[in-house]
Amino acid sequence: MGGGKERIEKGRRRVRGLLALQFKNGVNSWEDLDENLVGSCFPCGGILVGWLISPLSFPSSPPPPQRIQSSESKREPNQHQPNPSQPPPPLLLPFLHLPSSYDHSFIAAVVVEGNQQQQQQQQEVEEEGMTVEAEAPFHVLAVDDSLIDRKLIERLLKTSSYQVTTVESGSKALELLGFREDQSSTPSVSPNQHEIEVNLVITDYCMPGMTGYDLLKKIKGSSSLKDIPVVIMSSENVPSRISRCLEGGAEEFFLKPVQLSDLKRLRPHILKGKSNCKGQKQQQPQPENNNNNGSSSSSSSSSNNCSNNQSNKRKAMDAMDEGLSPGRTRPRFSSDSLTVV
Amino acid sequence: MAPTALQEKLNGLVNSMFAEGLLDEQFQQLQMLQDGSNPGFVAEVVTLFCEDSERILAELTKLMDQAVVDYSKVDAYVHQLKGSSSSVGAQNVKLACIQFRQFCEDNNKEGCMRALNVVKHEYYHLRSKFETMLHLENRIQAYETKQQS
Repeated sequence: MGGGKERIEKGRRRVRGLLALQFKNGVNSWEDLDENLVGSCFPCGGILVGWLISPLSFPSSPPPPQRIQSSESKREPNQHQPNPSQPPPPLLLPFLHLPSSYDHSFIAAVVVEGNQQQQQQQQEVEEEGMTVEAEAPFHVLAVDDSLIDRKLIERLLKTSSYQVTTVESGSKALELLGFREDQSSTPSVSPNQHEIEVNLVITDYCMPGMTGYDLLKKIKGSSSLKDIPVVIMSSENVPSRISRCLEGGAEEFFLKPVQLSDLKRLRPHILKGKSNCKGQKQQQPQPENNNNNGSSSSSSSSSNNCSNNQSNKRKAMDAMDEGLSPGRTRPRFSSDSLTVV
Repeated sequence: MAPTALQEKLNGLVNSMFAEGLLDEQFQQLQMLQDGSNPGFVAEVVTLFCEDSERILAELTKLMDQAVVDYSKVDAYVHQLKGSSSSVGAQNVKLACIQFRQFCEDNNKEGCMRALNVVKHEYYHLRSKFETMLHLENRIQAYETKQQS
């Protein structure tokens, strides 16, 4: 797949560039390198979360006795699965050569979290003039009785790198969300198997049966669902309708037909929604990034990771002076998608 | 015909549809959403639109045939058609639907009959252009697939 190779090649150049810059700036050890680079994002959609194999040393030390992997020109990224118990990685970064100004080249293995949906975001990345963008997939539930509008909103959301589920009615939406009429307190730990985790609901206003407004009120009235941001769409520009929805707790009101540019307005609401959920999730210890072996960085407390890795990324960006914009992405880790290359 | 000539023909057709007001900016949005990973998106949406529209037009015809017209049902269908035509960028169809809804509001049977005919006329005109468009696209894609193999 040509597109995939190109992305991987871009990823390669990027990491090479990062390393070159690091050495130029006087990085002297794997620990230093690690510190500065972890949290960096790559165009192919991965985030550097650590170094897995690091017996290899800096130029002042003797070279390693044998190469761990072959050179990049022969490398087929998808063939290597060093850890059989890990699921197949969705995205891989290839191996690297360090700058040849050193006496020997050696290989680093990179632990990457990536997601195939991030590939679609590349166009957006280029448009915004950012070199990299990595985004854990937020899940949006789209509700619309029109099949065409469902197709459209699905494509818009996927193009913007969201994971999407579409349903045709408010009642189906509530069913998926695990809404229970008599909920008056935080739900018990065991979820209904039909429940899915949703970061935002976007719904049409005019629907037979339950309108978008009705759905909004149900969601906001539920203790377990009230923190999910809700956006309402309508083909009709009726100011009283709009203010009623906003007063009812909707974050935004989109006029149809919804366009790609509208979707950019979703992001702050999703991020806010995520941090609102922080209190409900179990706090977990921060991943150790320095001497890591790649296996311990999973956590479901995404916002804690968020702030920690944002600061790592900012360090990387300062060191590299690449002008990446901070705060745009929010890495999120789950053990399912950690992969070893 | 050579692929570049086909492509030119396709571009010319689509441009004329914009110029005539058959299509508006929303269609361009659809085109933007089509890319290498979703090469058939426009065709898919256009096809869905045509199927949906014909279903609605058939219902509308039945409803308008009644001795006593149920204007709220009629309006509901026209509202649907207006929505889907707006979503795909079918400008003339959308405008005709807006007119139609006005007659519904006034419970004007004759006005509604005329409006339905206008909607049909606009729809079928658009459909034949869409058919040519999809046909050209298929030929271009068939040629490109052949080139790659």
